[in-house]
Amino acid sequence: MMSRPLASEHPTGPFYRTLPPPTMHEAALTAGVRIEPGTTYGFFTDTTVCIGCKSCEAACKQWNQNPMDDFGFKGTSYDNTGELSATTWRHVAFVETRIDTNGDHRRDRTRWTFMSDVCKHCENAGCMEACPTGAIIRTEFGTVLIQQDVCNGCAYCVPSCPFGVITLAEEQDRKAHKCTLCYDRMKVGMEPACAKACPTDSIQFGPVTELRERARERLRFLHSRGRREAYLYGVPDAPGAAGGVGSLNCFFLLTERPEVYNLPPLPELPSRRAGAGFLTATAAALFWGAVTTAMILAPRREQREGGRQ
Amino acid sequence: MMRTQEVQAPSRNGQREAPPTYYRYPALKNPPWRWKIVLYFFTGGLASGAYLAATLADLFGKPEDRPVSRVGRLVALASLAVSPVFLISDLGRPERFANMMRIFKTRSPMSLGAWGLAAFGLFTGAGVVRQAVEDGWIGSKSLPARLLSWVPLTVSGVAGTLAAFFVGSYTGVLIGFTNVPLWAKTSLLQAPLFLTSALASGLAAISTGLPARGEDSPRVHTWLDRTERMAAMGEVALMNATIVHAPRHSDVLKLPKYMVPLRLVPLLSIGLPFILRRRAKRADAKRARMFRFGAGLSVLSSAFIVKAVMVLAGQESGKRPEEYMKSTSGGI
Amino acid sequence: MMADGKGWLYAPAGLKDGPLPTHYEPVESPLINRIYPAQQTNPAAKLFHRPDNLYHAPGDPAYPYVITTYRLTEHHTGGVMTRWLPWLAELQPHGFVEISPELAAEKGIQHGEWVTLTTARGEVEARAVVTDRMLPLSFDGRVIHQIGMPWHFGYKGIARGDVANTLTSIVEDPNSRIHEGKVFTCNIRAGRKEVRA
Repeated sequence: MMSRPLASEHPTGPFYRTLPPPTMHEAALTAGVRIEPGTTYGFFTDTTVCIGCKSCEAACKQWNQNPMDDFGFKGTSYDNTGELSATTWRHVAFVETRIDTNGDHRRDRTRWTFMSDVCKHCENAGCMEACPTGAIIRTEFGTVLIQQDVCNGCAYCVPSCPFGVITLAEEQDRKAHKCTLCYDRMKVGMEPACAKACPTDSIQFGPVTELRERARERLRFLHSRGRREAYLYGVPDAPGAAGGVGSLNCFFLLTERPEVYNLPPLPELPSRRAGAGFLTATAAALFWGAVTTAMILAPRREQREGGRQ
Repeated sequence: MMRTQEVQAPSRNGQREAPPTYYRYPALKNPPWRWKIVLYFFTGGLASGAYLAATLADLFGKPEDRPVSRVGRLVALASLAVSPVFLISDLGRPERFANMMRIFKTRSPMSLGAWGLAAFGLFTGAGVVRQAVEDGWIGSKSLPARLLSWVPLTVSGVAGTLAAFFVGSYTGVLIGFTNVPLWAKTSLLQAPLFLTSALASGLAAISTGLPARGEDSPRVHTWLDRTERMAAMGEVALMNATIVHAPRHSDVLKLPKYMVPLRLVPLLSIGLPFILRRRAKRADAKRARMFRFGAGLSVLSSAFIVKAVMVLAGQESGKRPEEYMKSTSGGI
Repeated sequence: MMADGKGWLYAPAGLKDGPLPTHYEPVESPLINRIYPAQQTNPAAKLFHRPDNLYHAPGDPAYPYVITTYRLTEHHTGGVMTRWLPWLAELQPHGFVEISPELAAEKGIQHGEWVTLTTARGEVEARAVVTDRMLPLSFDGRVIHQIGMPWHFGYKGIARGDVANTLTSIVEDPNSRIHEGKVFTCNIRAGRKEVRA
C-alpha cells in the first residue's frame, strides 16, 4: 500500500492541490525500464520475431490520434500504408522474397519478412540540423522531437532526413510531424505505445546501450543457429550508422538488404557538405566581386550610340 | 500496380546490379516547394545582383555610373520587397515566419539565410534611403538620413555587398544540403551557379531599367553589358557542368520537360541579348530602348529557367528510389 | 465433459458425428476420397437441397479451383465492427483474393486488377493479389489451383468489398452446425462482375 504524499510534500510545490498518479513508473512493469531524464532511450526492432500484425501501427495512430491517410488498396503485399509520413509514424513493411526451391513444388517458395519502420531518432539528426526555427530539439530522453508550437512548415527538414521519415501534414495543419517516441508517455513513466502493444516484443524499448547489448546477444544466437544473414542496422560501425548520421537510437535487426525495407545502406548527413558548399560560394563571390570591380574600373572608350536620331 | 514479386532477392555472386527498392516507394520525401520557391530564389537573386552592381558602381564607379547605382538600388528594393512574400506564403504556417528569427544555427543554411536576408534587407533599405536623400525625397536633416550619415558609405557598402553575395548564393547551398540526389551530388556547383545567375539577372534588370529612365550613357552600358555577358557565360558553363556531372547520380535532367528549357538557356542568356544589343547600337533611340529591354528580358528569363529547372527537377529526382539507393550505397 | 467429470468417447446424446475423426472430402471438392472411395463426404453432414443452394458435384469441371476463406489480422469476423474504424480500414481497405502466378497466367489476370469468382450460388468481385505465397497443388501430376479469400468484407463501411458468403453453400457440420465456408470450389475470371438488371 503506497502512502500518498501530503499536499505540502508534493514535488511541484506546497500549494499544488492535486496528487501525483500512484504509478509513476509503469514502464518498469511493462518493459523493465525505469525512465529517467538524462539517459538516451530508443527502440530495438527485431524483425525476426515480428509477425506483421500491425499492432504497433494501430497503437501509434490511436495514442497520437493521427488520422487515416492515403486510403486505398495498394497491392503491395499486405502493406496498404506504404511509407512513413506526417500522419503515419509507424509503418509495417511486408517483404516477399523468392526462395529457390530447386523445383520442389511442395516447399514454400517465398520468405515473408516484416519490418516495423519508425523514425530513427538519429544521434546526429539531419532534420534537427536543418530546422531554422529551432522547433526540432533533442529531449532529455535523447529523442528528437518537433515542437508543434514552433514549427512554421518551411519543410526544410523533409529532404534533410536521410530516411524519408518526415513530411508536412499538408491536408491538416501544414506543419512537420513525426514519431515523438511518445514523449508525452515517457514524461509520466510509460513506455511508448508501439512497444507496449507489440505482442511478440519485436519492438523493445529501453536505454540504447542496454538495447545494443540485447541486440548483439540476439545476433549471436541467430548466427549460432545458422541464420547468418541476420545483421544489425543502425548500431555503430554497421549499415545505417555511417556518413555522419552517427548511430540510430532506434535500430533494427534485419535479414534482407536494407534497400528492400526502403532503408538506405549508407545514409549521409547533409550538413557534412556544408563546408565545401560555403567554400565554393565564397570563391564564386570573390571571383565575381573582382570581375565586376575590374569591369567598372577598366578604362572606357568613347562609344557612339544612338547614331540615328 | 506493383507485383509483390518485384521486390528482388538479395544479389548473388556480389554482382553489382541495380539496388532493389521497396515497391518503388521513394525512400526520400520531397519538400513541397514549387513555383513560390522558384520565384523566391529568382527575385532574391535578382535583388542581390542588382544591389551588387549598384554598390560596386557606387564604391568604384565614375560619376556617369550614378544612374546604374540609382536604378540598381530601386530594382533591388522592388525585388526584395516581393521576395519574402513568396517565401512566407510558401510556409505551411505563414503567420509563424518570424519563428525563423528565434535562433541562429550555423549548421542550417535556411537559418543563416533567414538572417542573411534580414541583413540584406536592412542594407538595401539603407541604400534606398541614401538614394532618397541624394534625390531630395528625404531631407538630409531627417532622422533616417542622420542615422545613415553615421555609417560611412564604404562600411555599409562592403557589409551590404557581403550580405548580397550571401543571399545570392546561399540558396544554392541550401538545396545542396539535402539528400535529394540531383542537388546533393552536384552541391559544389549549386552555390556558384545560383550566384552567377543572380548576378546576370541583376545586371540585366538594371540595363532593362536604365533605358526606361531615359538616362542613356554609352559608356555605362558597356561595362554593364560586358559584365552581364561574362556572368551569362559563367551561368551557362556552370549549368552545363551540372548537366554533365548529374547523370552519374540522377538522370532527371535528361527528361524533355527539363532538357528543352535548358537548351534554350545559352540562347536566351548569351545569343539573343548579343544580337539585340548589336541592333540597338545601330537603331534609333526609341528602338534601341526596345532592343535593350528585350535583351534584358531574355537574360532574366534564362536565369528564371535555370532556377525553375533546378528546383523542379530536384523534386523529380527525390521521387526516384533507385537513384537515392544507388547514391547511398557508397563508393560510386 | 460429462456429469461424472470425465470426457466420454461414446456419449448417448449431443454428438451427431463422432467420436473419432476420419477423412472425408468437403461437399465440393475436385478430388475423390482416397480413404473411402465409396463415401465421398461426411454422411452426417446436413445438406439443404434448395434451388438457391445448389451444390457442385465432385470434380465439376465448371468449378475447377479450390477456394479457401481465411481471416486477416486487421479485421474481425464479418467486419461489421472493424470496417468502420479508420485506423483498421486503412490497413486493409478492400476485399481481395490471393492467387498464384501460375493461375494468374492461365486466366490472364493482372496483379491488382478486378477478378470475378463464381459458384452456383452467386458471384463476387474482388481485387487480385498475385503472389508466390499461393502454391498450386499437385496430385498425380494433375495441377489443382487454390484461391484464398479473406471473408471480412461487406458493402458498407470505410473498407468495402463483396461478401465472401455469397459464394458459399449451406452445408452444416453435424455437431456445431457451422456452415462449410472454409473450403469449396469455384471458378475465376478476369474482369468485374456484370451488373444484372
